[in-house]
Parts: sequence; structure tokens; C-alpha cells
Amino acid sequence: MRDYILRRLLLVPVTLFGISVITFMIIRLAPGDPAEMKVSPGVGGEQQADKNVSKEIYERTLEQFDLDKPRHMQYLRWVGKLCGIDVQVEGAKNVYKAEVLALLVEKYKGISAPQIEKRKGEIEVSVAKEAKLAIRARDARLQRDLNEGTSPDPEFVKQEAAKFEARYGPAGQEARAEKQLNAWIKAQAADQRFKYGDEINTIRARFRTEYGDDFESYFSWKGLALNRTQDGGWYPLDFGRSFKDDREVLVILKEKIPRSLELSLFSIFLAYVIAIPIGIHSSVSQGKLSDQVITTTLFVLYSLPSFWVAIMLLLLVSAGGVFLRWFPVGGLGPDVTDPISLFEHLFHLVLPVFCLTYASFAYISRQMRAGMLEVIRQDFIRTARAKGLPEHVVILKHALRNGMIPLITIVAVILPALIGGSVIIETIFNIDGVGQLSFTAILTRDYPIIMAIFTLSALLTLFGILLSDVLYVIVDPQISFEGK
Amino acid sequence: MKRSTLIIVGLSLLAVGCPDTRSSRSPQTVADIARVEADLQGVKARVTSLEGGNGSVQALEKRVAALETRPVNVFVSGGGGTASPDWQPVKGGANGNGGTAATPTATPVDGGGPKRPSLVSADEKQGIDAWNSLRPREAGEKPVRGGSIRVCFASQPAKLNSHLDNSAVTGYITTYINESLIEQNGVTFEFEPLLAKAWEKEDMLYEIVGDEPITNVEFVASQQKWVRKEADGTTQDWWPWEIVKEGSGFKKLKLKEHIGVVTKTAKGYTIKDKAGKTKSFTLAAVTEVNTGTVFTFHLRENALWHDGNPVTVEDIIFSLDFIKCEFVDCPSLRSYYKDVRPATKVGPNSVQIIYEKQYFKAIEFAGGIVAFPKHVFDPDNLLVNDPKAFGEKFNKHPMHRRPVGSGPYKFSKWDEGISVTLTRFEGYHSPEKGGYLDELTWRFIPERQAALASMRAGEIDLLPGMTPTQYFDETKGDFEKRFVKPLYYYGNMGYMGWNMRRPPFDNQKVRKAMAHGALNIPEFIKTVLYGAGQQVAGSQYIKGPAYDHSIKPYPFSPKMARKLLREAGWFDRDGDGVIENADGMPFEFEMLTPQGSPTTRQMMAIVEQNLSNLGIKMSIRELEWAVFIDNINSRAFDACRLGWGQSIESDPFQLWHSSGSEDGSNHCGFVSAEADELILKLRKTLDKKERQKLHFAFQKILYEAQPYTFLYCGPALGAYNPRFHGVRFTPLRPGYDLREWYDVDAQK
Repeated sequence: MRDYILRRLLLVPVTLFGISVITFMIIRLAPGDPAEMKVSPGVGGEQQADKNVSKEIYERTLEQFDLDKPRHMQYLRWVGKLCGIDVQVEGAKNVYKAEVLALLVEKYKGISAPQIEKRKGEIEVSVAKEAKLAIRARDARLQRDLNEGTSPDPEFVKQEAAKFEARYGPAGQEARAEKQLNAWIKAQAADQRFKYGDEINTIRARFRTEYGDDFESYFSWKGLALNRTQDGGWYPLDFGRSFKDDREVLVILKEKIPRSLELSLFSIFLAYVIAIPIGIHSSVSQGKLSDQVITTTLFVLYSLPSFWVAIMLLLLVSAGGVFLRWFPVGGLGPDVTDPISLFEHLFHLVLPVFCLTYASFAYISRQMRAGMLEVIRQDFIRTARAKGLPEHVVILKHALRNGMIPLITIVAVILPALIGGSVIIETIFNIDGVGQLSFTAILTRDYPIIMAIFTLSALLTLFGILLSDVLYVIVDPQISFEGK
Repeated sequence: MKRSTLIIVGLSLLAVGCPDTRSSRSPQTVADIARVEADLQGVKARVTSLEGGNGSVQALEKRVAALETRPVNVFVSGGGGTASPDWQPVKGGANGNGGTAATPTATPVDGGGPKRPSLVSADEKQGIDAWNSLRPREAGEKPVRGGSIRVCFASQPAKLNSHLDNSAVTGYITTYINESLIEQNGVTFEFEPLLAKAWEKEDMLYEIVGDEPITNVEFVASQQKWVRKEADGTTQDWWPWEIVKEGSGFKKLKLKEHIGVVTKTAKGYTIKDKAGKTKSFTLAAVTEVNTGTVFTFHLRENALWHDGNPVTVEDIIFSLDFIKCEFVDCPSLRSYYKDVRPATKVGPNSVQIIYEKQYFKAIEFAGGIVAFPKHVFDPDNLLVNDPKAFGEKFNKHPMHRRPVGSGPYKFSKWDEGISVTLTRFEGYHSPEKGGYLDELTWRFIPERQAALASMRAGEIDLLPGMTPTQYFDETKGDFEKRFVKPLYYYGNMGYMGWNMRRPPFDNQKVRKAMAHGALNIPEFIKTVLYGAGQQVAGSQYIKGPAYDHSIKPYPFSPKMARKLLREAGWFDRDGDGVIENADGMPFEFEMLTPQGSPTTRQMMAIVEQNLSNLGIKMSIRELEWAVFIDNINSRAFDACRLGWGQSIESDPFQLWHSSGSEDGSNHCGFVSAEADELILKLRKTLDKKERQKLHFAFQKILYEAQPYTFLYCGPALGAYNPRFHGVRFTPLRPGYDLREWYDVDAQK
């Protein structure tokens, strides 16, 4: 069994790779262009830019989000980031631009050495002035902190002071002045470019022969490097940043997952706790009135669409409704800090959890009932009964265990459902969870978010399947991994 | 109003409704007064028939008096100016016929209990917004400070920076945090001081001081500039006045700029600069004079950022510079500011901003620059030294989630996905404009039913954006006793666009036939939109000065449509019930609509029916927005249903200039030399009356060509808690200004 699990675990990355390739390609092949949407936001946006004018901007947006590269490079870069590896590619366009700029900087430097000297002087003065101002501002801030008695952690102050020194100290000033001067030279060079038409044409021709006429869309592999954080540490599991608000996808997920998780934990727990006994009961009393009543009721519930039920509940029993104003309208209520707000918080959960749960009663209890019915007719149950065991022992000890098999199949689905959230319920009850997030991400083609959610769900599904396979063995000794 | 121009309304196609406030440009005319009087008669009759409205009748009498004496200025409240405009906004007309009856007893100030008769006719509904605008001022009460309001929005901002996140919600929230130099008054449409206490306008004169030959330049219509493509694929461009054609070649003029007030004399031009020096030029020495393009703004000395630092000229310079920095993530805004030069410091507290060309919206752009604190975002001058690093840092700067501004409200907290709260900034430079409420909160509730339920539960105080069904059906009775339901307008216009590049819609008669036969718009508004909407016949905002009311929409007439189609060569040639042209091509086309609007779905069902009666087969394809807009941009459509948001007076260039047909917003492919000329002239015309004439002439061309079948302008429908007074709705987005609102319960 250990070997089996190990083997299965080794298969996970392979399967995941396949899944991610497919999802990646599907969402990239779907129509809709995130860069275009960024340039002309359309919906609810303030304006649509003139495409002629914004062509360059559009291209920059493509570059910013890797969208200008061929799809396989996009994918590998995405995978790389996930593994903490920076897959570097280089666009011929950028090399070309850099070469042209280098040429111009070279040319320009030669022409006006005295001018550069003059500018250098100016920059030094301005940098010094700036440093003086910064020091003054810092002193004022310190003074204010002192007055207000809110002086921060001394260690922090020390660090800040070191940073400040690095930036505005003599060495820092010199470095900054040099940087500014270089930037200035580059800017001057850019202004002069049309003077060097011939030389630029030579470079262009070289690129053309090397990469073909549309060399601007040519990218080549450059190498691999470890992804680093700002302070030099390794940086794996980088899902990128959301196109929408430029925050890291993981940060966003960390915010939304607990909200969805809370709802689904409650709802799955309740669904099983209530549905399993119902299922057992109706299997035991098969065909009797109570079985028929239960079955009918559950199927009625099952066929009610949850969005309708949710809205009816809002209208009928929420504080914003017209009849019984019992429950809050939406949201998750206060954070749990004291018992009173814990109660209020749970109170907020009642309606959404109900809506998420009621439909699965029918499904789970039917599965349970079917599983039980099959088992109850088998010989060993008859034997147990013949032995004279009390009925509840027969049912709960012997039948139930074997009747669980169909239920275990569902376990595979539960794991991803835990974090998946529900678009409809989250929207109606105004819970800002994963469901809403993935829905808007798909509409706005927010690839990093979509990919992250899909990958997580895929991963959890794989583990869910593994888990249910293991559970089969535990529940039913007749099933075994050996010899397969 | 920070930005102008037309906006795709897209999803908000649900929009509906409308008060009839057509020709209210001069409300003081005899006719208007007569109408107001007639209204009031009706009101009196109605009010007396109400039970228990004792105190309110007197209140009404008072209001009657107020209305009779000063029909316009009554509406000016809060920090608004009192200038009497020659372009009277819609609200001035007080034409809310029966609407006057809708609310008089509602205000608690009147002493009477909240009691409001239910809405009876469409006219009454339309009057509500005008009425609400009036209400509180009349009671003669003084605004009180304190209290808070909770506003419901459907989605939350991505960042609290209107430049990086140009969603409407972000724009609405951040106007209270970050202010612009000047602001437009919602009633007079005049600009008023905000961060700048005063400003001056000067002209720019270009003197010719020499020239040099230049080759390979060509005039690009979409940019209105001379452009030369360089060897490396980049481009250089020059203004029209910088290049002159000379024989077969061109020469580039060397120009010297003079700033001052230019007057034209018999011999040429004289320019008088700020110092009072005058200079004269002959006609030949001057290539161009741009009138009113140089703005000098004088900042308030007492303006502070929320962190206590003073607002300086450097901040303003930074605020414009970062928009222009190509690495900052605000592409659409940047293309709008491409004609604004970087700002320069001209005095300790004065900043000069130059618009490159003469343009009637120049002041809107120059004065609309929103101030951002340089010391927060760019203390090390990175923007100048290393723009790329600056852009990367700025785009994901954490301070966009807890912004520092100079506006009347400062950021307090952001519960991700739940709410954003602002509190009043006590150091605000102009307390009289600083707002009365202590706290503004926006709650984010995406689902409309849930939003309404929250309103009922008393969890929110202002709900802008109800659906028509909610507004007219679901909130009758009890709800109306508890809340005021305003109906107000800001610029928007829906249309069906016909792709003029290919048959069958390349024929003007066919498009006209569509106008006549596709949809009975007044009937649609009446039945589907509950009467809340106003049919339009042009692309300008129907209540703005640029809309010509003498042009009436084409009446619904299938007979007329059939006649036009026959004239265009379309009739049923083979008796199969579908009309064909001379080539035997049947009249079939596909209508693209964006997904998610029930109103559009209803409309399209009707259109399909109407057209099939004419022998036209229309198929409807609903597309998700991203895909829809892809199709529109690649011009892969026959017809589409869309909408534009408008400012009070929109510049028609973006939508209608022929240069936008290829690649821009002119997706229907409307190309007309005459119209192009009008548009270009119009943009340069600074005189309002003169410009209005051009707008009207342009509308006539559009009306004849019918690239769109213009549908209607829909109102915003909402509800708010009557404990708020000082409420006024204006045609400026988002239609209300929370700085004017105050909470009458705050005193208690």
C-alpha cells in the first residue's frame, strides 16, 4: 500500500503538468485580449483611448505581462516562476533597441563632452539640495514622532537610518548623480536618433538577415536563473501578479480562500451529518411511507435552483426582506474576536450555508441509500441477522461500512470544492470569496488568477482521488492495491 | 470633471428612463413660468387631498413662492457658485409636472410624518429628481456637520488611484480623496477653484525665426500632425503649423514661442505678456496663434496633504509627469494627456500648464489634473532619473491601497471586498467645500437583489443603480415611505450601430429604414422601461448644450421603412418572404450584443420581430464583453447594440472623425469629408454659441447619414435615506456630490 501511494504521488506532478498545459492553452486560445482591455477598459471605464495613439502603450502592456511572447514561452515562464526559476527569454526587438541606443549614446558622448561636464555640475548641485531637503524632512518627522510620543521600534529606526545614509550620504549622492547623468545622456541620445539614420539602417538590416523580416516578434532562449526576492532569498511559488490590481496572486488567494473555506466546511459537514442518517433511514424503511416522503422532499429540494432559493430567502427571512426579518442580508459579519461577535458571525453564515447545503442532501442521501440497499441484500447481512445480532448492529456495523463505497467516490470532489467557492451564493450573499474572484478573473481575462485557481483545484482534485482510493481499501478489505 | 470624452457604457446598457426636460435652456421664459404655475395648481390640488399632511401644505406654499420668484438659483446649494449661465442645465427647468406632488410631505423637517403618494404616471416619476434637488433648501434649514453615509456600489476598486484603475467606482471614490486643480460646477458647468485658488488664461503665439528643409513627412489625420517615420521604425511628429509645404518639398519652421494675450490688429498681431510688455508681429512673421491654451494656476497656500505636508507646485508637476511616463500603467489617460506639455513652475505657488493646440476642452484637461503627493510616491526623483524603475515601483506601490490626497476626505480603511471608508479631513483648505458628513463608507454588493435587501435592512443609505424592475415594481408602498427614490440623469446614449463598410448597411436608405422600422422606441421606453428614458436623435448628451432639440427622431413607421428599402433596391423578388437586392442576395444580418442585459434581450426580440415583418432576417448573437469588444474592434460585425457615456459637451472627434474608422472608436465606419471639417473646426472654436452652431450642423449630418439608430438616454435610478438633506442631482458623473449632503439626525 505504501508503494502504491508513493507511486501515485509521483504521478501527481506529471498529471498536474498535463492539466496545466491544457488549461493554459485553453484560456490563452479563448478570444479576448487582456492588453486590449487594459488599454480600452470599456465596461464601466472612463474612456477608450485612440488605438493609433496607444499602439506603443499597447505593446508595452503586452511586454509587461509576457503576452508578446510565443505561447510556449509564456507557459514555460509561468511554470518557471512557480518553481522559483526565472526562465529568461530575449526578444530580438529589445536587443535591437539596446544596440541602437548604445550606438547613439556612444555617438552623443563624443560630440559634447563640455556639455556633459556642465550637466554633471548641475546634477551634483541638485542632488545635494535634494539630500538637504530630505534630511530636513526626516528631522521634522522625527521631531513629530517625539512630540506625539509615538517613536517606533529602535531597531527599525536604526535600519531606516542606515538606508537613509546609503541614499543621502556622500557615497549615495555620488551614485545618484552618476545615475542621473547617464539617464540624461540617454535621453539626449534618444533625441538625436534621426541624425544617424544610415547607421541605424545597417543594424536593422543585420537583424533582418539574422531573424527574418518580422524580427520584432522573434524571441530566443537566454537561460535560467533562480528567482530572487528583493533581499536575495529564493522565491518559489510565484503565481504572478493580478492584471487587475497588481497584487500578488498568492496574497489575494490568502485573503479569499478562508472566506470560501469557512462556508464550504460548514456546508459539507452539515450535508454529510444530515444526509447520511437520512439515507440509512430510507434504505432501512425502503418503500414505506416515510421513505417516500423523504425521497419526494429531497428531490423537490434538489430541483430548486440555488440562486432562486437564495433570493427568496433574502426576500422572506432576511433583515432586508418583507416578512420575517431574522437573518442578516449578506457578508460574513464581524471578525471573530469575542463570543458575541462569534455568534453574530455564525448568524451571518446561516443563509449561505443553507443554500450551499440543501441540494446535496438529496444527492448524498440517495447515494447512501443505494449503497446500503445493495449491501443489505447480501449474504453476510443475512448471516449477521441469522446470528441474532440486533438490527442496529447489523445496519451500523456491518452494512454501513460497505454501503459507504459510493460516498467515498464523492470525497474526490470535496477537496477542490472546499476552496472552490460558489459564484452564485457568494455573489448573492455578498461574500468576497474564491467563487467571485474566479468569475471576475475569467471575465476580465486575468490569466494569473485563473491559472492559480485552476492549478490549485487540479492539485486538490488529484489528492482527492488518491484519498478516496485509499479510503476504499480502508472501508472494504476486499479491495486491495496489491497485484494490480 | 477630470476627463471628458465618450465612454462605452457597455454593461450598463440596462440603463433606462428619463425626465422630460428637453428645452430648459432658458427657464425664465414666460412659457416655463406658466408651466410651473400649472404644475403647482396640480400640486396644491393633490396635496389637499392627502390625509394628514397638515404641516406640509404650508411647506408647499413656501416652496411655491420660492419657485415663482427664482426658478433657477434656488437649486444652487452647498459650495456651488451662483453664476447665471447662458447654458442652462436640465435641472433648472423645474418641469417635474406631477413630480412636484411626489415628495412634499416626505421631509422630516416639515414636521409631518413621512408620507408619499405612490407614483401614478410616468410624468410624476420623471419629476422626482428635480424635486429632490429642491427640497431641503426650502425648509430654510442650516446644514449640520456630523453623521455618516453608507453608499452601495456593485464592485470594489482595484486600487484607490483613479489613474491606475480607471473603473467608474474608483473614480467616484477618489474624487473625495484626491482633488484636481479646478472643478466643474454641476449646475452652471463653469469651472471653479479647488486646489488652485485662481487661474489665468493666455494665448500662445508662434513666431517664425527660420526654417530648414525636411523630407518624408506626411500628414496623419488621426493625430492631426505631420509625421515622419524613421529608419528604426520610430516616428517623429510636428504640429500642423510647424511644417509648410514649399513647392514639391516641405520645410520645417523654426519657431519662437510667445506667451501673453494676443490681439489681432490690422497689420498683424500684438501680444501683451504678464509683465505688461507688448510686442507686435506682422502677419507673415506668425505661423499660428493658439488662443486660450496657456494656463497659470495659483495654488492655495493653505492646502495640505492628509499627512500634514503642504501641497506644492512640485506635486502638480509630478502629477502630470507621471501620467506622461510611459512605464506607468495608465495608457488610456496618457493618450488623453499627450497634448499637454509638462507643467512648469512659474512662481512660488504658481504652475503653468500649456495645451499644445487650441481646443475647447483645454481647460478641462489642464485644470482637471489630479494632484498626487510627490513626497509619498517619488521622494528620490526616480521619475526623472530612472523612469522604468519608477514605473515598476509606482504601479504596485502599496500606497495605492491607502492613498494620501489633499481632498476633503481622507482614507480611513479598506476591508478587502467589503467596504472602503473615508473620514473628513479637518485640515482641508476650504471648509465650506469640505463636506458635512464625518464619514463616507462605500459598501460593495455585486448582486442587485442583495443590494436592495441591504437597503431595506437599513445597512446602506444610498443605493445608486437600481434596476427598472426594482425601482418601479419591487419598491412600492412601504419602501417609498422609508426612502426617497431619485431618478437622475447623466450623459449616456444607447444605439444600434450599423457597419457602413459592407452591404446591406453601406446604403444610407437602408439605415434610415432601420431607424423607421426596427423599433418603436417611444413605445419600448413606455412599456419595457416603465417610461424612464428619453429618445435621442444624436450622439451628444440630450441635456447638454450640444444637442439640437429641433431635430426630431425618425418616427416608427414600417410603411416608411418598406418604402425606403424598396428605393434602395430591396424587396421580395422571389416570394419567399425575405427581401432581396438586385443580385438576389437576401437581407440577412447578425446583431451582436454584449451579454448580460435583460433589457437588450427584450429589445432584440422586438427588433427581430419588427424586421422579420419587413422581410429581413436578423440573427442575434450575445457575446461576452471581452469577445464582443474584440469583434467590434476588428470590425467583424454587421450590426451591434452598444452605448456611450457622454460628458456635458462631448468632442465628436473620437467617435466620428474619419481617422477613427480604421482603428479607433468610429467602428461603424462613418466617413464624411464635410463632417471631418466640421469636427476639426468645432474643436478649435472657443466661443460657446459659435460652437453650438457647429454641433447642431454636425448633428444634422449624422441624422441624415444614420450610422447609428439612436435609441435613448436612460436615467440612473436609486434610493436614499431621507435623513440626508442638501441632496442635489446634477448631470455630472456620478450625478451627486456627497460633500453637499448632510445628516439631519447628526445633531441629536
